[in-house]
Amino acid sequence: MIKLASGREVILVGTALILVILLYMMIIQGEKRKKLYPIRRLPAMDAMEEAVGRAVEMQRPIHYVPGTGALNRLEATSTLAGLTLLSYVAGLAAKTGARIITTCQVADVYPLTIEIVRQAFQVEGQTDMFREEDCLFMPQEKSAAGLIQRERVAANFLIGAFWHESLVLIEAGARAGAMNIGGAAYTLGQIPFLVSCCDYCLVGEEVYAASAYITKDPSETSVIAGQDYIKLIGLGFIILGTLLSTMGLTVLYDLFGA
Amino acid sequence: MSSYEGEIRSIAIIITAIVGFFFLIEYFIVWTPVNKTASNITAYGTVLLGLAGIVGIGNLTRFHLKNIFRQGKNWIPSIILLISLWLPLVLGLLYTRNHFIFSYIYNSIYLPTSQAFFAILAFYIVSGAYRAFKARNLDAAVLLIAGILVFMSNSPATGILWPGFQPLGKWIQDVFTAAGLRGITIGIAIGSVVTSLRVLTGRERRHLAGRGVE
Repeated sequence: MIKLASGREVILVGTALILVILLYMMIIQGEKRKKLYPIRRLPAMDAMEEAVGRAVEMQRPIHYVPGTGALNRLEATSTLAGLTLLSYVAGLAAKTGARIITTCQVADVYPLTIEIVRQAFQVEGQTDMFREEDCLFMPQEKSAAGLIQRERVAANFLIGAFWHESLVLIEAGARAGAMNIGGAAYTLGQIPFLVSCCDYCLVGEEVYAASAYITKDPSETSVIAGQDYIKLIGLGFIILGTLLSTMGLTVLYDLFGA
Repeated sequence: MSSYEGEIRSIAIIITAIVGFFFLIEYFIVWTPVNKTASNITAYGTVLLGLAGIVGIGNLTRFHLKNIFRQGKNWIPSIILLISLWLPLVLGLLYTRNHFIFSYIYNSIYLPTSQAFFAILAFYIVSGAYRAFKARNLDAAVLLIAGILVFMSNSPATGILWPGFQPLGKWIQDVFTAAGLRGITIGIAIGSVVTSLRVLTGRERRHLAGRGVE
């Protein structure tokens, strides 16, 4: 006998599904009309090209960590966003002739990092420049701190899900004289460290918006616009809930409240 | 990209979509056959992750063996690394983790080293704070003042200097920090759902070494 999980969950899922369908329709509409929604400037994204260029000028490598999160846990989307940006940074490195070192702590993410970097070099026609030995598996991500200082990296990218090791890696980068570019979208506790210690930082949803920012593809920018509409709907619910609660009506709180 | 790579990528996208939507539906349905299948798939996933570990260990070993044979840069630390990697692994596989040598390596070498590394964080926080807390512009000055006030409110001794530090610090955290974090949390949650949807529908494929929407 098939049963739905529970009443409250059904309402939450129903709401989420409506929002997702709304978003999906926006994507399709965006593709049909080829409408390009404007995206505000993200200084961290603009700085990536500069950081890679700086590495080429200084003849020093770039270091990239796609987070220390796995693909089978809650932080998976953050890790995927980190890998998406790795594809972009590796492409820049291949185009400009910079050496890129990637370190990866998680076993299931590791083969992906190798393939992403290899593919980026292949696309730029620089297959011979790809060095698999620069894609390192480091089960203790903190130990990349030593590598960052030994190799005296010129740019240090930390984008994905991070825990306490973020500060160790950023400080190692700072000591090596690297330009630190961070991005955190999972562990809220690490965002203050990244914001205060990195030269540039992508905060929260900016990490997910980065892909659209790079490509300026209508289907991707319409996704960002869709997210904003969902936020507006959420904001509407917050204001409505506040007003209803002030009037002593707890309908919305009973539906969505903890 | 060759057609073979394209086909492999399509297979990966199809598997992701089927398994992803299956788990999405399973979360909200109470039906034994579906719930049991989901639990089995989770177990297979754990096994696959174990196999992915072999890829990592294999690459690490290959790289350092090559370095040792070539007597390249830092080839002596490469030997230490390989011994540290393989000795506990072999001992653990041969004698299980209860064996005294394995326990000794884990409890007396690995744990203290790991804890020492973790403890270094305290120094990094200080040097990070030193670099960050400079009033270079208005934003940095606000951060600096708020940081000092929260820092003072968390220190028991400052209550003697001025009793207002603690309520002020609590007010900053409860009002500004909480409001800011909630905004970020909502953004992250929506971003995560959207990214998941894009991955499940195969619209996001850069993580498969692709070029995004194709």
